[in-house]
Amino acid sequence: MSRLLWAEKYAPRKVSEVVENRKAAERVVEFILNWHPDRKPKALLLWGPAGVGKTASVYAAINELGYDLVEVNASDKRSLDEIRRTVGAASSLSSLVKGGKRVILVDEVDGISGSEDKGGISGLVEILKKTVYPVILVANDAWDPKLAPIRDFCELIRYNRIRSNVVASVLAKICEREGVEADPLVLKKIAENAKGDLRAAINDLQMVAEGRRSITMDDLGVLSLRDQEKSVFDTLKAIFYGKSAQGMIMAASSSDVDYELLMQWMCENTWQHMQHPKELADAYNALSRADVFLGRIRNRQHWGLLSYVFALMSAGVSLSRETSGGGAPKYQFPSWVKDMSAARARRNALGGIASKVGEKCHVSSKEAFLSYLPYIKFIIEANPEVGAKLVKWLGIEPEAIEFLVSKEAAEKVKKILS
Amino acid sequence: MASEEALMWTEKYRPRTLSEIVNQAEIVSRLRTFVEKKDMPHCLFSGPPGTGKTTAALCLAHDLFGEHFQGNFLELNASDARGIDVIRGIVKDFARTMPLGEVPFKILVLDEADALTQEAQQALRRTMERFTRTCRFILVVNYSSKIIEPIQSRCALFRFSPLSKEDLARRLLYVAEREGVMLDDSGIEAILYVCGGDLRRAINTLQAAAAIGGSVTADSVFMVTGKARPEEVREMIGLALKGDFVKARKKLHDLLVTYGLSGIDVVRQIHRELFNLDIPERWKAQLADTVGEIDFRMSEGADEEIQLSALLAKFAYVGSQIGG
Repeated sequence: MSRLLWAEKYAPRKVSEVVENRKAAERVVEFILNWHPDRKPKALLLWGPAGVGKTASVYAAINELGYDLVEVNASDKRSLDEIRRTVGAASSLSSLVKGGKRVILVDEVDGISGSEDKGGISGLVEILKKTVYPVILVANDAWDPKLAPIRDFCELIRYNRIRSNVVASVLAKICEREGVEADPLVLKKIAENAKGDLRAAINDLQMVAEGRRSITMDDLGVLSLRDQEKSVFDTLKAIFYGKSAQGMIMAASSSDVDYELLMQWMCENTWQHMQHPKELADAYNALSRADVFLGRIRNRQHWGLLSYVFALMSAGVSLSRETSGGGAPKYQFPSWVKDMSAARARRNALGGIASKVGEKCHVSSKEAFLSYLPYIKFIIEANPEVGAKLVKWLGIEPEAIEFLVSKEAAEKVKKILS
Repeated sequence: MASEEALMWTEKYRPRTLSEIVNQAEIVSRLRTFVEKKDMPHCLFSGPPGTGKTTAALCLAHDLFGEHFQGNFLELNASDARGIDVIRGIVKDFARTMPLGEVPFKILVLDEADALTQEAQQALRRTMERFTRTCRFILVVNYSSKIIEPIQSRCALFRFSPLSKEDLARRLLYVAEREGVMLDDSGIEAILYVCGGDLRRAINTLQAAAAIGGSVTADSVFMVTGKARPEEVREMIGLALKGDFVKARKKLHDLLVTYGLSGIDVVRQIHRELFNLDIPERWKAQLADTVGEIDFRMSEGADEEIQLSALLAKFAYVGSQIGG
């Protein structure tokens, strides 16, 4: 029996069925309908985290409009060659008439390796230049520096994480259709667990609920993140409440939790156990030393050093306490890990701006970062009209501005420039 | 050359020819003889940021090549395009082809050449030697000592000194006048105070202060620097010294995530702020040692947050020792 993924079975068939990012999906429809070969920008770049409906909204749009879809995976060189042939063959007028309604979808463009000549980024740019069909690109991070040549051809459309109450309501509908009786609390839990990724939530639901009449909280044990978190807590407890250095080191080195992740948890929570400034400084110093060893391992593949990492990050930290008692802290999820992807997108975007500024003003992007960006930010916020002209002259993409300045200022600039 | 008028004032008022450069008189006069003789050695321009090194290179090339500037001049930024591949590729391709016009060589400017790796510098040395006939190099650096000996010995060294207060003030007034901006004495003083001898930052500060509207005064300048230089760094240090480690870490997180600063940026900012802190002087030197150690560890390790958290914890400890 072939098993159908619920995430596909219940994918939106029409744009009106797209949740949370419906505006973005409507923009996709407009783009396809109004497209012509001289349109500028020539392509769409849909970007955002996984499982929020980027590809799904393209499917929904072409399904609704009755277009053909040519789908390729950008990291597959062969499929790019294929497209190049199609695009090339279609560029004559006769085939344009014959070819009819077609959309080219290039998925996972940020998966392309930057350096390859054929295929890769330059292959895509070539396609974007020549295409006689609307092209839609999909990526997680539109601000990846290697995508810069592609961005010049694209209108960027951002997809947001899906709020957990929206996710939960989708899950509820699926349960109804599948004839599964589900406690709303269970669905809420699954939705929260997925952190805005609807596809993951639906997959989790399927894993828990498929073939059952009803599901309860007890059935959630199979979901993996809960396990992960539980074992982090156990490890932290063993480190901070252990009796011997040996035991603490064992707890760290035998933990199911990846040691780099464990370091993040330690960094986020160690302060809760250190009541005195001296203890605090010593404990974080031990953590910092552990991180230095980790760096040496990474740089020199010197895996023998790993035991020092474990010793410093566990006993080194925990035994910095002289007088502080145990206490019963509430361990917190590392804020760092949570925001990592957002921070990366931001840094990439700012890096892109800095390199544009650097080109215009004869400095490196590093120098532009320090001695231009703060002032440009100030000018845009103090005086959006002047700022907009500046943005245009510097050749900065208006979409990138929102990473540099306040939302209001960014909106004003975009309005002036559009 | 620029068909569209530059909107960043640093570019709009960047001198186009050697005769427009108002300071560095000795250097300029030597560069002029290069233009007259239509000959020059490889050069090494060294000096602090914003003292006119890149400008001097651009002016020299403009004066030498005139209308043939485009094909004969290439500017690369080593810290953006560093590594052996770039030297081997772009630089070689440019250096080996014949120049246009009556000057028998091209000019390649390698900005921030101190960012080049040792290997890249070795490769560069050979390229400089092989193509001397068709291409002269100008290496622009902050510290000439970071350039390997064999290259230094092949170059004429020019040391750019920080601009004098008078030169800076004159330039600022000139720009302000051309832009129709009122700039009073307090405004000039304030800009000089916050920008040191760096003309680039001085002009950027002026432009940002002018964007507020009205005349540029000490108040408007400090409004710019208050926002442009993340005040948060000082606030973060203050929180840590007071022993509020949790809030200080939250600020750190903001700086890294919201402002998108890199860990190195933050450490350098902390170092700069260190000596303005209201703590006993002898602690400042000790803290500088700690900051330096963390800077070093950051280059050895990888995790900015862990290293900076350790630094903040140390500040908290020092704060408790001072008993502030």
